Amino acid sequence: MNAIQDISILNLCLSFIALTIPIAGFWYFRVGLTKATLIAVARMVIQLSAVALYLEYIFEKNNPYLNSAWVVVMILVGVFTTLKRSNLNPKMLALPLIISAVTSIVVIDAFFLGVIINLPYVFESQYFIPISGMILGNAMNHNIVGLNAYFEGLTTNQNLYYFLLINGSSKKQAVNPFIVRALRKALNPMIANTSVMGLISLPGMMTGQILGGSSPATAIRYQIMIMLAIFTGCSINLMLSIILGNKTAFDRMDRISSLVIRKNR
Amino acid sequence: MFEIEVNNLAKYFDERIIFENLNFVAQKGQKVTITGASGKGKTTLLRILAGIAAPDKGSITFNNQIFNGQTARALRQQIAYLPQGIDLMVNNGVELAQLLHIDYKLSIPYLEKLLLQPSIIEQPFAAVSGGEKQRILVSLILSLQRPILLLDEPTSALDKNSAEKLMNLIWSNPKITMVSTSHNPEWEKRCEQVIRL
Repeated sequence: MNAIQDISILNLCLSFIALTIPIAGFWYFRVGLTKATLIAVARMVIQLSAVALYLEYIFEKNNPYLNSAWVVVMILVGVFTTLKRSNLNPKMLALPLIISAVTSIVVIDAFFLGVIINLPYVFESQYFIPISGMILGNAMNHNIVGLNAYFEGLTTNQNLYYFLLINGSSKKQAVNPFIVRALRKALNPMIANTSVMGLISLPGMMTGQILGGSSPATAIRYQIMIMLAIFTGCSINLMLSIILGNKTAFDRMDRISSLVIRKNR
Repeated sequence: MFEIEVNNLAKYFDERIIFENLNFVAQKGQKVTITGASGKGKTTLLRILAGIAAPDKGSITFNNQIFNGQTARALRQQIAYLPQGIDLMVNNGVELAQLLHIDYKLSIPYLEKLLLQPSIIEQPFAAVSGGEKQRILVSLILSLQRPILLLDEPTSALDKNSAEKLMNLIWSNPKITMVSTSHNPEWEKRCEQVIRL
């Protein structure tokens, strides 16, 4: 395998020229996304540059506390982004979501890093940070869809929930149709994506590893493992978020709190 | 059999008084209806009785047992409830029966007494009329065989004949204690107690 071809700063700057094509399209169709795109790209460049500096430091130190602190930061950013994007009340749901994210990361990292990759040192920054990050990033996207579908469904279709509840169902039974809908909505795209992996989508981790000099066989083994880790991690995180969120989003009479969805959209 | 007691109940929306100092007792087996113009709080009162709306003052007891967080689950297992505006976002009666954890076939005798073909339970709600849907829901909740009925405008979508059949069905069971809301004069006439808001 050849060593990876580095990208010079000048060439990286040139790559921004590609953006002129979508921006021209936005201008032509009067989409109104130009400003948002430029801000998003600027943020990405600043964030990734800062992260690159920080990760270089973290990778060099390879300290379990520092590595864990970085994962905690990722968890907190992910949880508050999820709450903001799905219009949910942080006072009610931040703690359940943090517990869910921490639990899913502990379970997934312990199993996949400790048992499957069989690392002697689970907090090894080279594995612990990118794999935790991939799981948390995916979990955030699926939680936004799933939690929004769940709590929006419960508040906009209260008739069904209360019909079941008053007619003798437990809260657990009465919320079940809403959980089913939310899990299907959140996880179906990932199942579809998994089923066509390698055919119409070349996974990022595999591509990265091949570019980094790994053999395709090793890259594919890692890719299969990471797909399983992401699917399991996202599912655990979302199901646990709903289960724990149910403890705080209802009152003692099992009424849905009117505060669970934020009004100021 | 259950007795339902409403004690000094009050409900306000912002500064507006919906009702205040409301007291009544639905005795065991009694059929009670709440009447009043639209916006007077009939549905709100029924929702408070079902424990899905909170009163600002007062309490509800079922057989002297106060309705609160500790007793809600057990007491709700004694209640069958028909809401108003029955868009439940489920496909048909069979699916709803599954969600209620009952065999949909239990509703067939009730459907027949309410002048419906048993097969209607399998038809999509989108393909049946409002009156048929209301009778399907009534049949399903009656299949629960509960001693307390809370019915919100149970005849609102029914013609005179179907409403008569529904009244006959409910009044045929003297063990059921019922609190309902209604604008139907015939329904009101049959009730042993009428609460005017």
